[in-house]
Amino acid sequence: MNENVIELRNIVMKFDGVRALDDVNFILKKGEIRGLVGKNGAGKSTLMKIIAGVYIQTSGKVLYNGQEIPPTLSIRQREKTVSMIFQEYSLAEELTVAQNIFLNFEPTKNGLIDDAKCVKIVREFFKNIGITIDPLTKVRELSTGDMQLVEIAKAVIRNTSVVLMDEPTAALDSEATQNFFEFIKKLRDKGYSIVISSHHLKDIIEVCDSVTVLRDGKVTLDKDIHEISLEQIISSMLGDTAYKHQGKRTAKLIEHNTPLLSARNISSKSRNSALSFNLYPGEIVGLAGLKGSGRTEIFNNLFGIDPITDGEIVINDEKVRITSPEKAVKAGIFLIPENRLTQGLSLMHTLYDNMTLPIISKLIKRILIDDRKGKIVVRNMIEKLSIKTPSMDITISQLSGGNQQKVVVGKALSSHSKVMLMDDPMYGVDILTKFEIANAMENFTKEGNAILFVSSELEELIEYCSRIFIIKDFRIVDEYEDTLQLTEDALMAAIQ
Amino acid sequence: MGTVSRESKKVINRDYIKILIDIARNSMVFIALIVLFVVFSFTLSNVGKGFASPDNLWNIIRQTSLIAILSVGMSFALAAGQIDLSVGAVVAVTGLTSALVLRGYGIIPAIFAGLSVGAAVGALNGILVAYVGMPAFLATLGTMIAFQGVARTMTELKSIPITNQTFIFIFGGGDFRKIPVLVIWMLLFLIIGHIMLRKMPFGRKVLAIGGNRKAALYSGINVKKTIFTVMVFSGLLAGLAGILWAGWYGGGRYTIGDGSELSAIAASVLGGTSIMGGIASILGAGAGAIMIGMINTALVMYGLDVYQQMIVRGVVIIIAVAATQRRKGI
Repeated sequence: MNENVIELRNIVMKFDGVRALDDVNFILKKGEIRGLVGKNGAGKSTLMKIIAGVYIQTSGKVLYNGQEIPPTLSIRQREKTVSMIFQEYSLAEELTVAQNIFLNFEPTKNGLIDDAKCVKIVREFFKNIGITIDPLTKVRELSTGDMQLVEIAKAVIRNTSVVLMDEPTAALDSEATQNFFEFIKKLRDKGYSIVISSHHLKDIIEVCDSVTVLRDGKVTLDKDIHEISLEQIISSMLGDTAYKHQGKRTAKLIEHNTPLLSARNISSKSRNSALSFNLYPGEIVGLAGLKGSGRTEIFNNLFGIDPITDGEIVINDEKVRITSPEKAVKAGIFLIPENRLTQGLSLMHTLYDNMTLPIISKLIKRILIDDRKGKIVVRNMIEKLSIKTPSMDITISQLSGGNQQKVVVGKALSSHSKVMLMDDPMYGVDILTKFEIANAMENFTKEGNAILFVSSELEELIEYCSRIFIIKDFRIVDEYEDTLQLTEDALMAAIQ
Repeated sequence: MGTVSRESKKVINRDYIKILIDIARNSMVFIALIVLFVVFSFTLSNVGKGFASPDNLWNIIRQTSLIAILSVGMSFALAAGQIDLSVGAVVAVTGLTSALVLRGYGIIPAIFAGLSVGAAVGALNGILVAYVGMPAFLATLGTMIAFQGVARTMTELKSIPITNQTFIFIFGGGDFRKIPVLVIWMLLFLIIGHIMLRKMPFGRKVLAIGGNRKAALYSGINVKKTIFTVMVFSGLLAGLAGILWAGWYGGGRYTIGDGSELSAIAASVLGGTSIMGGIASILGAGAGAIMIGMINTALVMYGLDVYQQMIVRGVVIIIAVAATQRRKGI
């Protein structure tokens, strides 16, 4: 069990003269799950893409099963050994699970596709590995977690022996994550080798056999998992970078006098139970609930995506009618949507254009846009949020995920919102970016503003929120004021 | 803060080259325009007065100015991720309408009537696309067919001649100090369109919607209203083009503007506008229109018959679009 399936020797990768990877050595053994961690931009994706053959290294050697792979070998040839699972799944939603798995690979009988055989192979494989998905279900009917399992099964049935996964658990809830871990452990036991890149360090420790930490394109840690601690991983990731979160302010420290926003018996078409709550200046209030508990719907009510049909929303003692996102933004409410790529940003446009979009009508001198004024605003935001970018004219798609997320937060700040609705703002970003976003939140609330915060991580809710509402069946069923005393387990129990 | 290292100087130089490549790619249509002009000028110097003679060039620009005006509206529609197939039909209907109203009521009512018809069709498109939520391709295909029918029945296929010399001079027929009036109209609307797209909130909103409609909505933009306005703007420009066409031809006729929607789309795309939305260039569209006009004239001068011209025109558009469209993933 000690053969090296993948070996990278002294890999250097340069993009436009910048070293993305600097003399990296990396080994993946047969039957091993290896974690790959690092800040956004540390070189994780680059490393995986070199293994998969999407990128060709500037110098250094790549070995598959001890054989050096000539850089000229095409991706298609490499695919026979290595499969890379991207964050965006590549499944055809209208086809069945079995059809997807055998797409372009279909066994035939008399020149026609042998569907029965496909289904049989998939069913046997699923049984073997303990998956309960019916191969005849259409992919669009599957949950995100199941889609991921199908995606991996697709790679494995096609005889690849190495599977690379970028943030595989980011979109999964805790139950699906556990399922997923069971699945890949079984794959490992059957001799497959797996690389997982993730920001969820606890997951890495739970499931991986070994871990490689990258910082600024260099390997800073390469150990078996039982030889190291979480703290060691974090310090290898961040190096000497000074980071500290200023620490949240608990509910006791915030005066509950005049609410900044109050929702009074609000209900809407898709959420017909009346809901009331107050949000005070300086607060970060968490909405804790399972997927489908109604967190998103509450945001949709407040942001005018699903306008309220009953009750009223009051901001600073003034009743506001929010019938569209346009009205919400005008009233001082801004949504940081769950998915920055599909809802938050226009990827083909520049950082500048994205950031100024909410305030574009206010940047006018006579009738034309005053871009000089816009540039000052954007420059301030880049500084304030420490967005790492060579210029404000860069196309957004070229920024790393964490920096993209900061741009979305910058949109909210530049539009002088009073209330931010943040839907999982720290999803898929590294620890340092998390701290920076947390500090931005802190500064925002210090100025007398307030935040409603939703997260897929209960830990984040406890860490950042001064109050937490428990959401169940579209209602607030409970409220925690003393979040300092709250544990993740207690919160987990409360939302069930 | 110290001296610039050699390393970073190199990077800066490389950036310059990148920027130059970027500019070249963005101005592909202008480069292609110049190259074709040189080629045609040399190869056709002995035909008639020659391709590069002032008369011929003014003629080309006069012919293409109306397509250029249509392509301004089309570029906005495409930039917003929409399309407007009805502009050709609108040209025919507004040409006839203004010619008819001109007879009975004079110039001002004629202009008003023409523009109103254009804006009204645009508003209808806008309601269907923005508020009913129909795909623009289908909605405007419907209005295109319907208004082609209107153009044919409203005068029972008869042409309506225009005899008012002032109207003819201002709208299409006249020259102002040797410059065709049509060219002045074209430049006016190319410049207005360019400023609207680049320097006014409306243009940025349109591009943002074409780039990512949901992100635009979540940024507080009234997406439906903006798309509605885009369709009205396109209809309004088509109305103006119809009036100009009638003035230039000396009358309204149902065949006027036939197929011009496709030329306007081709001009916009040649100019660097993405049919997927989010990217547009008004000046590029103007250059694209002139390029199409140049090719059309050159083919006639080369002595090709009508059908051969069609074949070559099709091939040239495909090649030109392939060369000017920016490379995108997938």
